[in-house]
Amino acid sequence: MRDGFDDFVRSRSTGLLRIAYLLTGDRHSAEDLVQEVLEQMYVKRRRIHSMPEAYARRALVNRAANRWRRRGRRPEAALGSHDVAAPDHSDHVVVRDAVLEALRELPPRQRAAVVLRYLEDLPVAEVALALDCSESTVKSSVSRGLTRLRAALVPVTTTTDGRRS
Amino acid sequence: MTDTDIRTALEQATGELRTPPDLLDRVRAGGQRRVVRRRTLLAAGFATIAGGSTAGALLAGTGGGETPVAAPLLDRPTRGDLKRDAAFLKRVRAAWRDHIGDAAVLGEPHIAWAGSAPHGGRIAVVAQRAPLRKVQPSGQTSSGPTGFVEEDAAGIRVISAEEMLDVTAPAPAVILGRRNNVLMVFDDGRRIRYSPEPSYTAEGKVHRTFVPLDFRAHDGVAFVATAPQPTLIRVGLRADVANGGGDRRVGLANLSRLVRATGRGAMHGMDNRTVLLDGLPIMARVDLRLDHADYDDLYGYRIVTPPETWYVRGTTPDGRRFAVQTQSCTDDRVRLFLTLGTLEPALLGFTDAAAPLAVQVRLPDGQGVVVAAGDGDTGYPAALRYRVARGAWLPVAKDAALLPAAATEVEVTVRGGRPVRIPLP
Repeated sequence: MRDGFDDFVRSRSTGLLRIAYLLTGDRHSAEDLVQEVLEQMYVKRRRIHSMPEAYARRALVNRAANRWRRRGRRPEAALGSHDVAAPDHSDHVVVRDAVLEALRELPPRQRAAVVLRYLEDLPVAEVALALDCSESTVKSSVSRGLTRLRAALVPVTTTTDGRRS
Repeated sequence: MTDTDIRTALEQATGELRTPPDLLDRVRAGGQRRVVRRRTLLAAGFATIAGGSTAGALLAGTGGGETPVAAPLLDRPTRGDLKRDAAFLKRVRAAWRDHIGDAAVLGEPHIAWAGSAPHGGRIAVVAQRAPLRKVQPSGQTSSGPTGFVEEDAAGIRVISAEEMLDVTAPAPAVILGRRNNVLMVFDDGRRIRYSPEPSYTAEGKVHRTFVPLDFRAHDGVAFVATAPQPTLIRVGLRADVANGGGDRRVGLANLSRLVRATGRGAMHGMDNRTVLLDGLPIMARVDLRLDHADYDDLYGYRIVTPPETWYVRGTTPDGRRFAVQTQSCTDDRVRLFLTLGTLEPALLGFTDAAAPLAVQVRLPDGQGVVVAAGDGDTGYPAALRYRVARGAWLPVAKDAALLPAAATEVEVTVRGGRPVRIPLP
């Protein structure tokens, strides 16, 4: 059982960190969040061993939303130079900042729906499971979130046809 | 912009992220701490009946098997000034049955105590056997539900219900009255003591003085009139006899109900606003955070989410590590601490967490001024500027910073608000 948990942490923690980063907008908060969720999973590992991934996603979403609520709807404050990388004005950094800024403006559940659907590439049904809502709610959340995300990203991203939009 | 473009953007935004190499070790260590803490918290919510003082016996197994199991509250005669008020006892049992609904229980509910309370209400402590079952996450065995029933002008209702567990036992205290101004403690044999409010040591640690409760006046129950406490509970309780988990804390049976009544309770624990100015990882091996176990009110209760606290860590110009942090308490006062060049925090005093500039600490030896700006009610980070004497205003990148020692004034602007200028100490 312990090996199974250890394997899960080793294989999935980076993926969970990426989700957490987009949910919180802040590297340190994301690390905190992932560690909290994994510790929580450690306590319950015997009961959730058959579905750790789903449990982790749901816990991340809930905890990220709770943090948001507790902070009185204040977005996590980025820590500037202590974030992922020092600003080097590369395209990746510009895109990263634009993505974080755009996600920050989305309501937490809309943000979570977009992240799980497009970063994790989860089917709608699994996103619904993580958000504890219906599939139709997921679809509408993703749709609204994408509209806002596209508007924010168009100026800074290169599209698949090679054009700078 | 296609779905693929969106995916690519999200991947680009997160592609550089990697978890720390020691994450698994941290998780295991943290997980173990949580297991211990969970046991302690569970123990805190309930109180063990002292060895044999009120314990009865229950037969194990769903139909009442052969193994005798301790079942406190169930087998002693009813006490209290209303123990012979048949009409009241009947209403109590009816309310209890309504409350537990279809839950699997055995026999009739037993009323351990029934009496009048000083605020005019009538109270009963009820317990009922049920088929033995394991309760998660504690893994303890429950012998049935127990709780408090209150009757006043508005009617009769169950104000708390919980499991009677084999290692720990139910919370023996409730806060009563429209204004939360009556504390009731049922004598469970642990020699529970009472403290009216917390105070502080010179180091900023929480201190309480406990006095014995008189359980004789109300035949096994003590009532204490307290100041009205709509959002704060200043009183504390501690048992001389530790429970099965070694814990002397005393549970408040209707704590969840009080939390809901405030409409302000998240009960997720305090949130901490962390700003690291030194570039070291948030979980640096040598951190300067207060050890909350020493600075918390162990025997008090919270019914609203505490104010946000600050933890601002950095390095002074002369190379010393510092941390300025705030810590709230159950009495809603917020302590301000400075750690500088050592691991020992010093209490600087108290601060107003809702003030525009909640943290303003001038470091000794001309090392600068640590500031952190509360964001009022807007829910957004405050913008800071500072200046020296009557010079030009200079921007501050975050809502917390170490300003030069020459700084004399800070301007705080919350979203949608007017700038507020605050002279520095």
